[in-house]
Amino acid sequence: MTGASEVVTAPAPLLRLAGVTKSFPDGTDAVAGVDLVVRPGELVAVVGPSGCGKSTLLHLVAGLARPSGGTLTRATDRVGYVFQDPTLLPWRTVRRNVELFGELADLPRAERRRRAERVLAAVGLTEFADHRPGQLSGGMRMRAALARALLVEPELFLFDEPFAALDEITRQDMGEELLRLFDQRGFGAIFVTHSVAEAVYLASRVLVMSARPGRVLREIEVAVAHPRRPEFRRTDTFATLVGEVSEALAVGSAR
Amino acid sequence: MTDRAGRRRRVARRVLPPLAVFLLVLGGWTVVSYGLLPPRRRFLLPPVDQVIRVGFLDPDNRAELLDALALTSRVAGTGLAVAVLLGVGLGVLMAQTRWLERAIYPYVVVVQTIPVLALVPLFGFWFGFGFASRVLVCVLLSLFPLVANTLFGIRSVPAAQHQLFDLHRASRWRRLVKLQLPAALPSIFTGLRIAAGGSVIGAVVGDFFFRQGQPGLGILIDMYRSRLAAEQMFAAVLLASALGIAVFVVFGALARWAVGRWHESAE
Ligand SMILES: Nc1ncnc2c1ncn2[C@@H]1O[C@H](COP(=O)(O)OP(=O)(O)OP(=O)(O)O)[C@@H](O)[C@H]1O
Ligand SMILES: [Mg+2]
Repeated sequence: MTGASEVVTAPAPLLRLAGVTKSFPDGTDAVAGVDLVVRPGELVAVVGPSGCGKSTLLHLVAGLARPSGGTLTRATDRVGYVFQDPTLLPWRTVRRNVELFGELADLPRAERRRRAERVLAAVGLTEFADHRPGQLSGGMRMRAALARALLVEPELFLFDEPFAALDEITRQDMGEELLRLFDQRGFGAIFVTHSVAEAVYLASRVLVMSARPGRVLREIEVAVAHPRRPEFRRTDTFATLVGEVSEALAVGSAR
Repeated sequence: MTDRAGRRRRVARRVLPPLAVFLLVLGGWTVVSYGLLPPRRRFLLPPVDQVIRVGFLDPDNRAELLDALALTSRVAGTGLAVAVLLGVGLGVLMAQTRWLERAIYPYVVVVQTIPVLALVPLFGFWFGFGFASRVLVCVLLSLFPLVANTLFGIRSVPAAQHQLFDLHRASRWRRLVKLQLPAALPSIFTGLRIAAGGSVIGAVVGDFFFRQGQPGLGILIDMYRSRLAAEQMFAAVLLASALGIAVFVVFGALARWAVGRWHESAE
């Protein structure tokens, strides 16, 4: 919970969910009453047992699915979405993949090109702009997916376990990369992950969800200002928070 | 230097074995023609050199063969072109809505199942023995693989790729042009290769059944057979086979050119 004085100075929320539920036609209750507020410059990590409705939650926020109940207010249309798989179109070069959302948003060609150059440089893929996804490593493909989402200059970023398929070293590199972009651009973000350490290292807040149907069990503030440094991983605060989140997660999964 | 040598060795490794088999077949052919068959019965398998001399080197015979080849190629090509437009069009249409698929698919299967060649006399009866009927046979023989492969290719687009387009509420048309058609291209090319073969068969074999009008390769083969002009018949058969092989090779190359850079099935 944030203090009353903070609420006054905090920027208007990008996203507000109040009692949002989602049931599928087959009767599966995936999400049951989620309350959540995301403000600009806030990185909210979401952890929870498998199948608890984390991906569904992001779908709802992105407008890929409609809530069955509750209210969902989103203050921006500039939403970047990074899936667990890079999902690049194999017939397009990296550059053309990155330009895709620009095409769909009818950006003029020159503007698309200009933005693509910039975001490719931002994720360090300039040299590989003319390669096809099949010629890239897993980490590079993920960078390309990140660049593609960056092209729309998102105010709200949604990450669905984006680094889950990567090896530990690449995963940490990508985490640093993400933090760098976050510090530069100050977007709001929801970051779904299975890694408690990753959640604590990246996030301003960690949301712990219960087993299906997913509800928010606990919201744990990570009161360490961004930018974060790798040294943070070796502090007592970090260890305590990881313990706290893990414990909440264990309680949620046990039910 | 070593690079070029290595390349040459690789090419040799690919070309030499089939070349050896080819020479072996020619050798076997020659042995049978000259060695085993008595001159009286040599028309059953005329020697290679005779086939070439009579069939291809004689100017009149060659002109006859080449005219027939031109006609057959034109029939097959037109038939294939129509089948591509119709087949890909139907496949796209059927991929858009389930009920259209359910409505159309049975008839596409019917076209594939009925013995099209048996209908040839009927087509002649209705539409005459000219170009249009012959093209129709080719279209019917090559339609199915194009419809089926287009439909399959479009239906196989992963849901995750569709979500990219959902995020931006892309129109049906954009989804088709930027996602479904490019994704289906390898599959469409597979269909095209099969269809091209079907079209050539339709053009050559359809000819047999027409037996009227300007002669294509099929009519020539039939005519030479009835005249016992064995050398010319073999020349015509070789030409028809060469047409089939050429179509296969050309469409294979086309597929590699179009999708080989990103899709492994084209390799
Ligand atoms: N279209 C659908 N129809 C029916 N049930 C669905 C559908 N999509 C998801 N579900 C169900 O809803 C529940 C939540 O799914 P979701 O993918 O959101 O979980 P998740 O938390 O992302 O899991 P994971 O951590 O394994 O990715 C699951 O039980 C799933 O089977
Ligand atoms: Mg998920």
